[in-house]
Amino acid sequence: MTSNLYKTCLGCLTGAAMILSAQTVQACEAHAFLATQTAEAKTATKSPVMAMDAWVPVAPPGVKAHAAYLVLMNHGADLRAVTAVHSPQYASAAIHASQVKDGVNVMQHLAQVDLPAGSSVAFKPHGLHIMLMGPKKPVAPGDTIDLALTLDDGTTVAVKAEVRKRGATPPMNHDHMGHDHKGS
Amino acid sequence: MVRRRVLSLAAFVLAFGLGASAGWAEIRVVEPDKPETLPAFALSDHKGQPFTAERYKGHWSLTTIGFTSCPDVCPFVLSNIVEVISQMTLRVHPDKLPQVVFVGVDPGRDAPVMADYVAHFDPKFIGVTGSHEELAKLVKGIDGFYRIGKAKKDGDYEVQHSASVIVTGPDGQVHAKLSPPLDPGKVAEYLARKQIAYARVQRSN
Repeated sequence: MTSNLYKTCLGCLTGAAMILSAQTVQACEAHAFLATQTAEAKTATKSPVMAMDAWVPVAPPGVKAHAAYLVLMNHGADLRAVTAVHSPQYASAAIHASQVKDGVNVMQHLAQVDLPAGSSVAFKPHGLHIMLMGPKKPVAPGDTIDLALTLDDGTTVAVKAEVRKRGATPPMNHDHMGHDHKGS
Repeated sequence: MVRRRVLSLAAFVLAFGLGASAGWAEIRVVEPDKPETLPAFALSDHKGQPFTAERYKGHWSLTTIGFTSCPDVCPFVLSNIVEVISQMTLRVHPDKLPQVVFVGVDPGRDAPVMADYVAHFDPKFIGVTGSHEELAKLVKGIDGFYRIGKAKKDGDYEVQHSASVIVTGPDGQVHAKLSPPLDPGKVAEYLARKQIAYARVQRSN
């Protein structure tokens, strides 16, 4: 449901500025065929957390553990935290942190990730990542992975992550695909 | 390794005009006082062929430890090595390009997918695994470490493993250990210089 709304919004915004802010979500509310979803869109404007640059590197064939990376920005005045992650395309999802301790790679499961007010938190290779376990069907470049990030205030940030090939270094993309901003 | 030299390569890398492009100031290299011989071990490669210490002789190799279910670090290290090899093609003769060995320390999950796994990065990469007893021999020989965690409720388990990339020479001995992050250009430059130094020593012997 929420992802349908998102797609429609993106359609509305084709050719417009690609920053999906609270204002642009409100702009979509005015659109006639979104009338039935207005209530949902209004809730959306409350979430101060935005996701950017979400992507999933293509995993080698047969590998059931994938990673998703993104940047989360908390535009609000209060500390927020991501407390759960879900993707309908995977059996399970969790927040992990990769660390090198004494030269050993260790992956730690995190119950939550704090998003300080006015700050951004980057999930990136060799650091924080969303671990996606058990893809329900093969994942190929160009696919879109839906992620739902649950915040400590009960809202959900829906994110579209693009599947693409992994470079030698983490790509910095600025097309802002995967921007989304709403509650549920 | 009894005593190690830690080399900071920032100075000479900058001297070659390669600095700053990737934002990493240096690469971290540990070299043993003298090259160390690999112990005997019996593993299998992704084609089912025996993989023993003999496979390290006659060419340079880069070896990294990991597991195929590792979503974050292992694929990035291997992608970085792809880039290292690509950068080396600008610097050394194709015969001198190192073979790349990925040691999968989670044989139960690694063996079935290893061939596809390494081919995803480079068809020439060699994926190696085997019994824990034999894996432990190679891992110890390259001054590495791994540990399989206890299975959780869902049957999944964590694998901890050393993060470094081991450099072995045509003598089949360990010459260096590179620690991440691996700046591909700088690592390629280091390896090219290492090969020149090695050849010089071989000629003087």
